[in-house]
Amino acid sequence: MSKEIKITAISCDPIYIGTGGFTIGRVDNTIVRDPITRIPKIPGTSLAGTWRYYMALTIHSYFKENFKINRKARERIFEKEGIEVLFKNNVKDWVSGFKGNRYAAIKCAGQDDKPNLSVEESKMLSINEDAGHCGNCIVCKTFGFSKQDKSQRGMAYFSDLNILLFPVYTRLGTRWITSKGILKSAGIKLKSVPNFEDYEVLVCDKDDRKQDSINLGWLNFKVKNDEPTVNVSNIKKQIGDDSALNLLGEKIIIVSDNIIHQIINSNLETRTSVSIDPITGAAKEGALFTSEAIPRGTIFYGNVRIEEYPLDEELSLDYVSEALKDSKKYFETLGVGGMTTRGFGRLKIFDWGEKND
Amino acid sequence: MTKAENLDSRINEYSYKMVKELKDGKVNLVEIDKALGVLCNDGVYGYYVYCKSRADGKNDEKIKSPMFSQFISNIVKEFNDIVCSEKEIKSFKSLYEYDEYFSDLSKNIHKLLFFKDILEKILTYARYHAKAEDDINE
Repeated sequence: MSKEIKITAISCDPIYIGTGGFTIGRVDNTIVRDPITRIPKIPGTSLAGTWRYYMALTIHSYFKENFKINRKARERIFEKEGIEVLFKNNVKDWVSGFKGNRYAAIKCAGQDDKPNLSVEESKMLSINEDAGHCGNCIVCKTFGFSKQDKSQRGMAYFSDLNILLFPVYTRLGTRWITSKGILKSAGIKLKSVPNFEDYEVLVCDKDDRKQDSINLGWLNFKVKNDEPTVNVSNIKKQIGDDSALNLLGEKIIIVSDNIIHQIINSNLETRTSVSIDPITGAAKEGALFTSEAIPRGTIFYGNVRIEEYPLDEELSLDYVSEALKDSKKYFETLGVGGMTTRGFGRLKIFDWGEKND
Repeated sequence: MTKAENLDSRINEYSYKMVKELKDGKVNLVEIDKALGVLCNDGVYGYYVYCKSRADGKNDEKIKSPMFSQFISNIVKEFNDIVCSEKEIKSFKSLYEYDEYFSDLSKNIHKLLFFKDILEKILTYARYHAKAEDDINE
């Protein structure tokens, strides 16, 4: 059994996911881009790593105070009274419905400190004893683990989050651009959309269609007014939960696949920062650096596929899906990527529709 | 191999030469960064007027730098064969004469964006050549 979750998200802050110095560019700190299109993206690795931590945080927050650290106490109580007693009242099914969750800890996220311990050894160590991944809880099962005696792949497979709609300044206000190719990659079918040249754009808003041309940042494009026009409600319907697109109304512009990377890369947010010398309180010489980021208001699409272990049906796909849904709230407060303590990174992931295979 | 066939090497060669030549006339990494920033955010014409203002700024001697003049005239002359503008630019004497060249360029979106890519790459390489020069001198 497997399940596919379609994800739509909007950036609430600029998002910076650095390349770690593996590319050179107009700024010192460049962001990750798709190698084929040169369009920035949020890699699945960043999403999965952060989500693992947020799931661990969520389950940790559901434990009663006495059981947050002490695994031996959890085990004693579990044998006498069952797993529900370990958690606060009214926790969701994915927390109390899976027995392996009694071993869950913050340490189940991040790199495993103790991969040389066996699963049995890890699960009984106290959480402040550096036990590493427990190998039993929903976090370890969803994202995978590797201990001395047992390794298991994760049940969840994350795709990259690619840009679906990108906000650009125009003289008529902000508009969100996309292209036929991007919509097609996101699984959105467009009916009877006219062909157009690279110097033309298709606009969806009625008022925008009255214009002869529209600027997207510094580039000016001719508005193609031919019928039929693009039906935004059709796009919204195919995305599933359309709350992301409701924010935009009809303010969508479709540009050529050949040009879209140029417009996106010309309208990224760039920041210049400097270190402060603590003695003088002024800017430190030679410490100026620049970074780029995906601007706030960008809408992304991607998916998570969940696949059961063939011989282990104890953890249901629904629990994993619920766990992901319950823990995604942390993306709205703690964010994803770098510089999250300096106004970057918050991402709102919208509720999703699911498809069972 | 013709010049145009190995564009990356030509850009690299030119950006290195540019930084070397400007070394005596005080190459400044911040100036490259600023020109690059204007190019990326405001486009080719924005880049041209910005460089022109910094090269010819008559009212403010502090902001004048010969580097910005190079950013326009030398680059355009060197790479015009690739962009294939019909303008006769060899005879251009002042930076003001490039006005028409840049206006003309923006009429063809593909040429404009290709020229922007070339400019961006030259300045990016120049940026790192300048950084390397700074490190050697430290």
